Amino acid sequence: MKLITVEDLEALAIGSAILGAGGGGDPSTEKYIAKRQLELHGPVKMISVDELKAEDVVVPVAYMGAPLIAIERLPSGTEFLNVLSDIEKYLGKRPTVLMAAEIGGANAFTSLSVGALLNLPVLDADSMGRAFPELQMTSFNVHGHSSSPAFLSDSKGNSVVVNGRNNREVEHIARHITVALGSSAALALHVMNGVEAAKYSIPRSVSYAIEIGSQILKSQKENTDPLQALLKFTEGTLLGTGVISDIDQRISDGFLRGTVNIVNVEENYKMLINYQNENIAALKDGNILATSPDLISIVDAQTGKAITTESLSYGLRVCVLALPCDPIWKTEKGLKLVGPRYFGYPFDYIPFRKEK
Amino acid sequence: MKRKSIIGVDIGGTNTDAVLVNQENEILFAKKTTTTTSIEVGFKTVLEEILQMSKLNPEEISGIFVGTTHATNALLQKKDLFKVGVLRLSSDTGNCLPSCYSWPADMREAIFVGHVSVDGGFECDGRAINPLNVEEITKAFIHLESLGMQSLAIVGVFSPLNHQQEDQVLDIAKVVLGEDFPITLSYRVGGVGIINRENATILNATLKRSMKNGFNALKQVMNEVGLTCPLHLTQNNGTIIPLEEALEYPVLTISAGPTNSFIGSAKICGLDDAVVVDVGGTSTDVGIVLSGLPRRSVDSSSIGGVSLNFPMPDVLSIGLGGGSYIELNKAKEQIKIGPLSCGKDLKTEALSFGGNRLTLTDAAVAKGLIDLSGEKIVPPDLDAALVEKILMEAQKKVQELTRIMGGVHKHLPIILTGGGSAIFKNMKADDKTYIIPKNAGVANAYGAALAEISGTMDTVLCLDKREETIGKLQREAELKAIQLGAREETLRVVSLEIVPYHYLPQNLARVKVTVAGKRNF
Repeated sequence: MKLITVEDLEALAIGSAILGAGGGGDPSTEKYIAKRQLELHGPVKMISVDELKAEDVVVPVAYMGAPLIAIERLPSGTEFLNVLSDIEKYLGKRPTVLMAAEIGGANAFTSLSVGALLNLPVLDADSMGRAFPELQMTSFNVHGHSSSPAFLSDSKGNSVVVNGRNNREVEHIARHITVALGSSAALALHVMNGVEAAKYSIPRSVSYAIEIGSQILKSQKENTDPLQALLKFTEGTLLGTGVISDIDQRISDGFLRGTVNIVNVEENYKMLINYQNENIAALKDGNILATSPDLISIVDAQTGKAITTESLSYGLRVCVLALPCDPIWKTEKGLKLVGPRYFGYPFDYIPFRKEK
Repeated sequence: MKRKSIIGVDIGGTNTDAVLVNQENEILFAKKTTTTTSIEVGFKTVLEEILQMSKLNPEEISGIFVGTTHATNALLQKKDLFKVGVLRLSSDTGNCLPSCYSWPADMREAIFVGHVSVDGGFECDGRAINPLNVEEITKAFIHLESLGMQSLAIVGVFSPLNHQQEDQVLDIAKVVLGEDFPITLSYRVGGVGIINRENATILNATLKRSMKNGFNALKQVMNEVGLTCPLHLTQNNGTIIPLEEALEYPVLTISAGPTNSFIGSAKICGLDDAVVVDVGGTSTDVGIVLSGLPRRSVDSSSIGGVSLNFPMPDVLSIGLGGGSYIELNKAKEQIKIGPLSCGKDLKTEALSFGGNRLTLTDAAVAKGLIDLSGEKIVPPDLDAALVEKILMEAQKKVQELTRIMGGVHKHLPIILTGGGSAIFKNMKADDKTYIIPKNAGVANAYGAALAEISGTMDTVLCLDKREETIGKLQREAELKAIQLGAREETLRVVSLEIVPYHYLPQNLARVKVTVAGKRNF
């Protein structure tokens, strides 16, 4: 067991944004919300998967909806009171441990804010090891665990319990309910016992995000190259660097799809990143360098700060990084859920080549 | 007599500059004076001298455009500010973060008295979260007043989408707090993103005091010198707003300084596209002008540690200027230039002026780059190879910034401006043109004189009928600009941002369109 304190939050924000691989939303507002909760209620206990007890009731939590809605209609922090009381009412069990459903982006902070508010410990784990756009894209699902019943709530006292035929349908139904709840809703799903949580989740996600952020903060402080520190720590690689010369994005079926072009004038090459909320594939002069489920992160060339897909902007000088995903995504079941073909691309997963 | 000339004025922290330009945008006369503690004194001096030099009648001046860092300085020095109370129309949402939570403590203490969250606000689809409760709002105002509120900020959830409630609360506030109580509505100062919009609203509310104190005096000065033309202020995006509006929305002027410098420097060279390097005493700022306007910063902007969500010019700064100290290691092999500098004490500290500190200016003087004729200077006794090394090192750093700023626009000419520009006048690069304009010293005032008139619309829309919807919004922005005095046939879209709201099936997007055109006066 260790304590998550206010001092950990900046590093977590930096690290979780990089693990967002373009998606998950910029965590800066959620960082402040968590900071406030920690100041009011004290540090949050974080336990490792080894510390789980069989009878624990583990609740993965997240906010569902557009990050751009959540920065205007801030969560009140009380949405999860409804969710947790619904869980207790519906399942007859009192939640004992919270965990992040998604470590990438703003949702890295959800379990911390709620954990502080309700005095519940959080688990050092998540179900993605990054951000993904859909609810069935979890390690739980790879292991065949059902996401139902899923619990959604707004801050006004409206709440819904979803029993889906399968995890894919839960995603579909929950998305429509989220719109009805104001396009941003508190969500808990895959409620499980301690044995299941230890087996099915991706361990150490929160620590890993904080460690990534700490590496970057440390190199900024010491005036060394933050990207080198990041790549060394994560065993990732630099795919390319340049200036964003064009962004073509559109919405279809509720997802932000697009391509971003990056030009390197010094070395005369072009990169193209395809994204669907998260970055899915990176190409250099037409050759595929990296694909989902490996993490493709676009970061500011000077600061190493991750740039989410909604803040991509013409003229930015960026570096494109590939970081390894959790091994579970490279299994047959994993690739079926989150490989490039699922996102509509006519090619299979290609592991990125690590430069020396 | 037909009105035909414009006076552009730049009121900076140190100097007040003015230029008189004709209809062809040529500088006819320029004047520089010192800014005093009350800004109207320098303003009066430059106006009188311009009128005297040009022998024009006041009736021949069709407008005065003022760019100023007055508001920025007031904030940074925490001087002449109102204490602000915040009313949030957010119902149950938004209680998770108090107002000013992420601010530096000294700014918060200087400005903020408290916030109250009441029923209200809208969902992203336009439904009210809750209707307003007049009694609750009245109580909130009375409470905020008891905390010492001198100016009120009203911030409603999704007010950029629907501002009905903020307008209604304004009416209630006037009844409770009095007709003249300073009030700022958030939808007038920013777009979606409640924390940053609230920050801008609070800064606006606090700045109303210094603007009112500073700028009512300018109107008075105009009367004294017989000028009857309109007085406009330049705003962050390089276009103008009438003085009356600037008094209500001072936050819209807080980055006008660099904006005017970049626009003025480009236009003074007759260019619409250029990289501008403004070499000051302590630092060098690099910006880029495209189609006559500075490129906007992509990262969220901030002032005094308070983050904001409206466009500011994209600036790369380095702590390297004419007064930068130069430190050498014993073997004189390693050179460190800046970031410390002698600032305004160049004339007492620098070697060339008889001081004992080696500065970048001294290297430039030794190399013969700076002709300070009329000044008492002693070319310092420096090793020629060392001088060369220092200048190369400084050039390398500035060139790196211009390269980053230029990005894909690597063909663009580079303009050197500001007091220290001569230091780099011999700078060479493969295919680049470096230009040092003749009137570089009054580039800011010239930039103000050339400011255009704009209209902006910023809202959240359903993009199902994309072309039609955006076209309609653009027309609304154009009507705004025309109302302010823009010539319709010169209007063009200068920025169009479409940010889709993903994860949602309704095809919503935040659309922000700005049009700008030439003035019809």
